[in-house]
Amino acid sequence: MSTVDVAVPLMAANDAVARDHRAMFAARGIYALNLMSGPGAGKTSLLEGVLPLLAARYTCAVLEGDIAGHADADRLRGTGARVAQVNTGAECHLEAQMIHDTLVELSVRDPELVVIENVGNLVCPAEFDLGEDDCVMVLSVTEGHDKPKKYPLMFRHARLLVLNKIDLLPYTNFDLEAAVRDARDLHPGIEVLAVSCRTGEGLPELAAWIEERMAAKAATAVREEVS
Amino acid sequence: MHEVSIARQLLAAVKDHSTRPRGDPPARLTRIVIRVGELAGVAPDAVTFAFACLAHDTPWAGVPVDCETVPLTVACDACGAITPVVNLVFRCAACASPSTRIVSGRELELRALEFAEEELPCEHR
Repeated sequence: MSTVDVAVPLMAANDAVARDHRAMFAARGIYALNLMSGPGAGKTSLLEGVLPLLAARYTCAVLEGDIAGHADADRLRGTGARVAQVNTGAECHLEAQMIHDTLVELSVRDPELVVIENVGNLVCPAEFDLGEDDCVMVLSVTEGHDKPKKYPLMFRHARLLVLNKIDLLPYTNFDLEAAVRDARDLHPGIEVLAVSCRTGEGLPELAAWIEERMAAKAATAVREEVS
Repeated sequence: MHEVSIARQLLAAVKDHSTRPRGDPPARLTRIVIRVGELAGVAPDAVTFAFACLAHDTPWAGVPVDCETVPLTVACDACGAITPVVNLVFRCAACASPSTRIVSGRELELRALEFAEEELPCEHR
């Protein structure tokens, strides 16, 4: 009997493609955002609200991840962004190679913002690096405030937590303070925005947040060009 | 069920590390050891189950997959202590600072292979 130590990372194939994406995004000053949530939290509704504010000034591309169908891509056609649907077939998450193939297919010339709307799922997408700059996590009031404690990895990864459907707060027992506190236990630096796609509250702030991150990214790209 | 994707990567890595020169059957494996961090977001049982299904009809069918769990620890930016993360609250256990970096607990790797015979796959001789 003999034991061989190998120490092979099992996400190596995905991570290598994600690294390529990150390098490509960095070289071209593209800001890439991975939008994640459970099913029905309102990722597509958020984009319907925010993209028209951004697409008027920037070239935006959206990759819509779903297991099947193109309903979400269809919803975003009028927003001014170039949209491509990624169907995973059976997988409950997007992997870096799927993004690669779709980016090529989309062939947007010099996008400034790439939004990747992940498959609605609170577990699996967190495990797969897509090469994004930031993860944004959407939690809706109707899902309950206990989600950060129950699905820690996704909240740990997110730079921004968007609390959606806050117009429904009076009709639920959602404890906003507890949700934010639990998310901050997992990720002390997490930023939080409360929005309602229904009333439009918080959507300009979300657009401004994305714009600020885009500017920061573009500034780094320019600095690297100069140096 | 992203564990199926991971088990597919595991099977590929096992194949890579147990092939022998052309014509020889693969070295006979008796055990596969994986390392999974507490915060890897992976259910070890689901990986081993998916591996068993994927390895069916391959030379690696029926080889047990054992899992070593790696505890979640953070290093404190303020005091430098490395402490375990308790109940997923990311604060330094020594000075309570919220500014920490993960040191261990995100691992997801094929750790080791145990072969039945002394005849090892080519690259390990």
